[in-house]
Amino acid sequence: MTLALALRAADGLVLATDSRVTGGPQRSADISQKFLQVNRDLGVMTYGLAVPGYKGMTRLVNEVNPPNQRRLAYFSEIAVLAENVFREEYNAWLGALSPEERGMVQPMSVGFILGGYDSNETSQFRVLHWGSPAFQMDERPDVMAAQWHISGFLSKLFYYQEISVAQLKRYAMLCLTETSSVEPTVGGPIQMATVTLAEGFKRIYEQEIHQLLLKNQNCHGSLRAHLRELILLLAERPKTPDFTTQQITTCWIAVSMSCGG
Amino acid sequence: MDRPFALIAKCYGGFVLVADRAPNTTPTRLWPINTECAAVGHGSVPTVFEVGQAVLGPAPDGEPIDVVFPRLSNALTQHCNQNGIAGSIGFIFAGFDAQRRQRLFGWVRQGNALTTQNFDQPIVHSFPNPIGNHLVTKLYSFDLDDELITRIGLYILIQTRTILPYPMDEFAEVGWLRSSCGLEIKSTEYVRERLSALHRKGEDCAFAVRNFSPRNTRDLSFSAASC
Repeated sequence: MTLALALRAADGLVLATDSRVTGGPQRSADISQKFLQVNRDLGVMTYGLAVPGYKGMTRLVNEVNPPNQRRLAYFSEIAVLAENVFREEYNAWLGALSPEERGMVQPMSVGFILGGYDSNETSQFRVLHWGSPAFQMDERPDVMAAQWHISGFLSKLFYYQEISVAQLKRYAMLCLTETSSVEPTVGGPIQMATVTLAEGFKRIYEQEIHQLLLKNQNCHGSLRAHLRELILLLAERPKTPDFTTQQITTCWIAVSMSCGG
Repeated sequence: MDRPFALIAKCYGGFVLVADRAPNTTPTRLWPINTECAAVGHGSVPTVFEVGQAVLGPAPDGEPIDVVFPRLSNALTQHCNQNGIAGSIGFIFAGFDAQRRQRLFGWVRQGNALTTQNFDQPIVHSFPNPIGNHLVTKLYSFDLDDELITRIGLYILIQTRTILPYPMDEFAEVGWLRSSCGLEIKSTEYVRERLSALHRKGEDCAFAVRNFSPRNTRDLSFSAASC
């Protein structure tokens, strides 16, 4: 599994995934490439099954940017191509399986997210999602896919509509680190990119990822502190006034009387 | 209809049992067994209630869970086989064994497949619950008392119901199990008071985390200056 995030800020998008792949002889390895740049303004991400996922992404990038031919520039034509490529790669992968293995493949076992800025047609930031086996295109404000549950909880606490890309990078980082702390199928180096009007698709490299991690350390502590406070400071059942309460009441009466109250 | 949410947590001196249920209905999820053991049911309704009512009758007081569980587990299986019950139902058992250790066991039947489990972890959920696991790592420790563990359990229930796509009810039933005392089922008022306080304080918590209360501004914020 994976955590794949395509999140919307007031001034752009943040795309982020982990890099863990599970299964196979090593059971778990942090080597998976889960997103690629498609063109100046677009990125594609995958989650779930690694083989059809990676093949679908790379074929899309190659077909959008064919050597010595016109590159696809329109968001809508890239979206149509993406849907066909993803479906074909999934079906090709499925066709190579034995009937028993095919019967064990679950719905939504692989998914793709295309996110970026549609500069030619709508001038909007857009996020599209496809999931197996139907690969019906679904346009959404944002996508949290695969192991999304903890991010869903964190979004209630941290996310707000007016958030900037700069803040959202830290939020995405927080989601990935918090999820990887309890979910063994999510982990490894974090892959992240932003899409903004000014810079288009911009990959965030290791050094900045590390800085985000360091900046977020206090957020992890803050989250824990606030949650503990929430549990500890709930109104207790009414108690008989203790010594301190009585003392304060006495003091208040004394002050009131001395002020003529 | 399903009642999926059930949670049992070990705490200092006992266990806390939490299950969802519809408001203004009678408790049907928690099962006192004897002074040392109790169970919480989950799964298809009313099947799980009927099975619990038929099988989870009172056991002799003082009988430890390592004696009670195998007997009731067999009885549950036998009852389901005899009555052709094929729905997805389960019970999580909590209690004290002969050495006074706190133990948790599970019995689950899905169709005709049966599993029993001896849990090592201090908190057991009735279904894989990533939000519950996350909150447990943030909030839980064994030295907390039953009141604090109840609040954690109810907060997990609220967040799970809000975020995960399970058909859960918005109210809850809560029980505390203590050795030699048996299961104490908490009153509706007790649960209502805590749920409403958690909803209220939960909003404050979201506000504090997002907007960074003055006390925390320097250390904890995603403030623009630090980005």
